[in-house]
Amino acid sequence: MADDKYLTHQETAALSPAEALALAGRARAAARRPAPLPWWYGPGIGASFAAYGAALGQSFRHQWQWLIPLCALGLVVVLAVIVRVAARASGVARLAERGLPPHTFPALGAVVLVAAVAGLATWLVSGDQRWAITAAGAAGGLALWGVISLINRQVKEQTMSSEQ
Amino acid sequence: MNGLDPILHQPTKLTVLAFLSGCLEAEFSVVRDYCQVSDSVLSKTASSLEASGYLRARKGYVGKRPRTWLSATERGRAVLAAHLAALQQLAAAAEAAGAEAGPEEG
Repeated sequence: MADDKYLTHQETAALSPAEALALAGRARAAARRPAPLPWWYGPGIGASFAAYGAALGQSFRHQWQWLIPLCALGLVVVLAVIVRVAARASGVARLAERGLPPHTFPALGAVVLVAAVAGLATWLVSGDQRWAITAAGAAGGLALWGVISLINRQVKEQTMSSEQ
Repeated sequence: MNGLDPILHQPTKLTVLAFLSGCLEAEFSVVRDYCQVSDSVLSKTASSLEASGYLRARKGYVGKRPRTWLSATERGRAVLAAHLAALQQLAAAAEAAGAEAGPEEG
């Protein structure tokens, strides 16, 4: 088999220290190269937050205080599953980067602002707490989807340019 | 030299461990494609590294399809770091020796 021959050649070939360092450096860089997230990641995260908002709205509406921590727990579990599966979708689970990615705070600020404006506007129009929180969750989820799509597009462009 | 590991003198083992040290874990087929070797060759290489305690193999499923995930152990990462540091010392020493020998030749 050609690959076996390749390996046999590699096994017997003596690498200089510089060649071995270069080989290891390339392999490590290849594993660290960011990969685009799967298409369902953004909608999944967005829908989770929208569902969380809707459930929270119902909890407030019916005064089901016990449901509020359960909603938060459910959101955390669903997000953890989505992140875990998405992180391994490309076949490589990457190491967590130290510190936050660039533009994290402006992106989060925009999401919170969109959710707050949507919730406030709905509350002013309907006067119903349930719909206000539901609207905030849905708008926040949509905004998150948009932010994730933008980040994903940037990663795709970076991947394409590095491949070229 | 202190830090050099004879197991990692083999380029495929070095490449596999270096690739895995750059991530949490990687699927078997991704490592195979990067190293440009056959399934059987990577399987043997991974088994050898696993026997040395440098690599961990985990069986899993994506839907109904079986998948094998490979990851570098703490020991493997430490051995690789020491090996690369020793190689860097060797490369630096060789470069210094070459620089010293250079002017005499000229």
